[in-house]
Amino acid sequence: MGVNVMCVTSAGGMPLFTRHLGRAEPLPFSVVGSLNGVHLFSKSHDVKLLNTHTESSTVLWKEYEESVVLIAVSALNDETVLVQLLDTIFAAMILTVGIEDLKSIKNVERLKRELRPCYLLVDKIMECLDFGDRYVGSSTQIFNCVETVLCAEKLSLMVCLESYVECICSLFGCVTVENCIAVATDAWWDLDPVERKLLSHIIIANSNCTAFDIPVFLPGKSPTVPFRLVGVCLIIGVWVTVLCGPKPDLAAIQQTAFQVWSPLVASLRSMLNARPHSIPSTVQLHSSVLGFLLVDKKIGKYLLSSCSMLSKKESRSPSEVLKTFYYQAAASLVDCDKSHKPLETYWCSEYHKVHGIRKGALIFCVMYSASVPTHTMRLISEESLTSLLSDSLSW
Amino acid sequence: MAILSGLFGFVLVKEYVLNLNDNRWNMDHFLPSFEWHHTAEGETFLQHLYNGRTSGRKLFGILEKPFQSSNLEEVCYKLVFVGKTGVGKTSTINKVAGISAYSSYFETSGIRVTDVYWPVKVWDKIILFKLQCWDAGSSSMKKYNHIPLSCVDNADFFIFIFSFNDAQSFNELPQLINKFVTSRDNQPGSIVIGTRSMLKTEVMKSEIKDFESKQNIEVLTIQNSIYHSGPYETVKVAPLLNTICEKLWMRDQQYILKQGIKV
Ligand SMILES: Nc1nc2c(ncn2[C@@H]2O[C@H](COP(=O)(O)OP(=O)(O)OP(=O)(O)O)[C@@H](O)[C@H]2O)c(=O)[nH]1
Ligand SMILES: [Mg+2]
Repeated sequence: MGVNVMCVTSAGGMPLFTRHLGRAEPLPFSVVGSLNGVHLFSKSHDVKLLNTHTESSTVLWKEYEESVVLIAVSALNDETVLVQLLDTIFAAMILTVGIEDLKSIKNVERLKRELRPCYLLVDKIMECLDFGDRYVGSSTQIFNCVETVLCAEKLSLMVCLESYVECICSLFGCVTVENCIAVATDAWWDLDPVERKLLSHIIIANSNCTAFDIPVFLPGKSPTVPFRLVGVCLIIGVWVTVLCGPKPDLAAIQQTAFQVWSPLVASLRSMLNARPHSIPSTVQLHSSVLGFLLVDKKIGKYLLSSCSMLSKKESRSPSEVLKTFYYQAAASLVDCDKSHKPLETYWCSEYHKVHGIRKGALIFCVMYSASVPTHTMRLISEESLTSLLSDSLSW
Repeated sequence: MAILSGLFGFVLVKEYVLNLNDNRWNMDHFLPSFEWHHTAEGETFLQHLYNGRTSGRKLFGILEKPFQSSNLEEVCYKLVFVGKTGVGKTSTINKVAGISAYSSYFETSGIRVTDVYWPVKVWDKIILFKLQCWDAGSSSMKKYNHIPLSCVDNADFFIFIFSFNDAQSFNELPQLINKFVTSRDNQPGSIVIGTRSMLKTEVMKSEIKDFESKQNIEVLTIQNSIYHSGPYETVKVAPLLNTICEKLWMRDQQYILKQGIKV
């Protein structure tokens, strides 16, 4: 179980990179060559090669900007997911080197070198998929959605964030608590969901230092001119990150961060206890609820909450169960284009039950203890969703 | 420049000059003590830097301090790590910061700063060194102008990294040193660190000796591939951190002395 992704130039079939995740063996060079060969052959006959299936895997080709071809080989038999995967990987390539260098490749060796910093992103993107295997991609990240937390301090944080981004002459800023967005400016939420997710990946990957300043092209908004993604660790676990232009430099931004955020240090500390509940203690859910996952597919954000008391028998955490349930049962509540659109779905197992409902672009999955009567899940889910969406929380 | 708070520095110089006249003490009394970290007092201080949950060392955000209550003297320096891609800049910083790193190698994109706190006993006083370790991926360093500029701006110390199993990374050091250190008027300090000293080496001991005398720069080695957890980890990196702190301290003393003489 796993996935292989490779990137070659359209013109000469020169390999740019290959990455793989999980128990997929890296493909030998000869196989990469043949996979590219069939694509090239069909292209020369004006045929667009989309995909093929073998007994165990799906192979998918997609060409971008008539310049590079991405190929995915995966045991995950779902083409729509693989197309999204390749689109996101291409977006990560733009983010790293800009669209110009990808459109017209002058020097393959140089491009290859310049693409190296995006391997980390490509790996993080692949980890978001569900492989039905708890040792693979075991992160509970949801594909192209950013993780959020609801915290009681939201208002004061927002005021501070607004003045912080203003000092830096930027519009884009967010505060993350243990890698989840606690607050972000309107401009941050106006970014494309894929852009926002890629930035989140970078923030998470750099959370083991104390400040960073990374050039990023925005695949949709600014594919030719790079911005700077500048993050400053306020207290361990809490970061403020902005997108800005060439000025001010990192040292000046650190200075500003110190001045603007110092008065809030107590609120920042209290936010550190937010996870794994991820909701303020004022929100009381029914006692049978072990955890929930609320996904907004349109904006591309989610809220994952799990209760810390768990039965010993349970080997998987609520987050893992909810992620699997989301991918295997609930995600299709929004995506499917059948004539009748289902609204609800549920699983029952020996130790727990999971219930999923759809409301517009929202999908709400709730994990219950096994003792809850199946027919009451709907009621509790509806009630819980209403309290989570109440205006005062402004999720 | 990150000189320790002016007043304190000045007092020290005064005392130094005084003592020099009175007792003919030598400069050694004003150097950081290398043994202090093994004393009970030293160990208590280091304990504060440990994270009980991960058994690694703690990092501290810009609004935090390792010793919240005490009013320790703190001195802050900007250290810049320079060297060819893949030689081990990021790994060395992680080692110095006492955090376990990625198992697989990812090239650094842009700039990463890691603040490392290290308490040092100088004479009868404990001083907390805050070392801001600047790490820029070598390819971003070449591609974007603002990245090298931002790195060298107000730098106090350069750490040049090469790998023992990559001769080219060693051979290009003089050029790098020339570019980053010599041309600067505030005379930042510098040191060279060689990584992968245990592997098949392409750089010979004799070459290192030649290099040290020719460039007038000290060459140290580090082994990044082994990660020690718990307090033993500080024992391993203490000599390196102490050497860096000592060089920074000496540089300040000389600076203050010069200023003092002028006054
Ligand atoms: N065996 C051994 N491997 C090392 C040592 N130092 C670094 N490495 C390995 O070398 C690889 C590259 O190290 P990095 O620290 O990421 O290199 P870098 O200098 O930051 O490279 P760029 O970010 O590309 O500029 C990693 O896989 C490290 O594990 C060492 O002392 N011994
Ligand atoms: Mg690096």
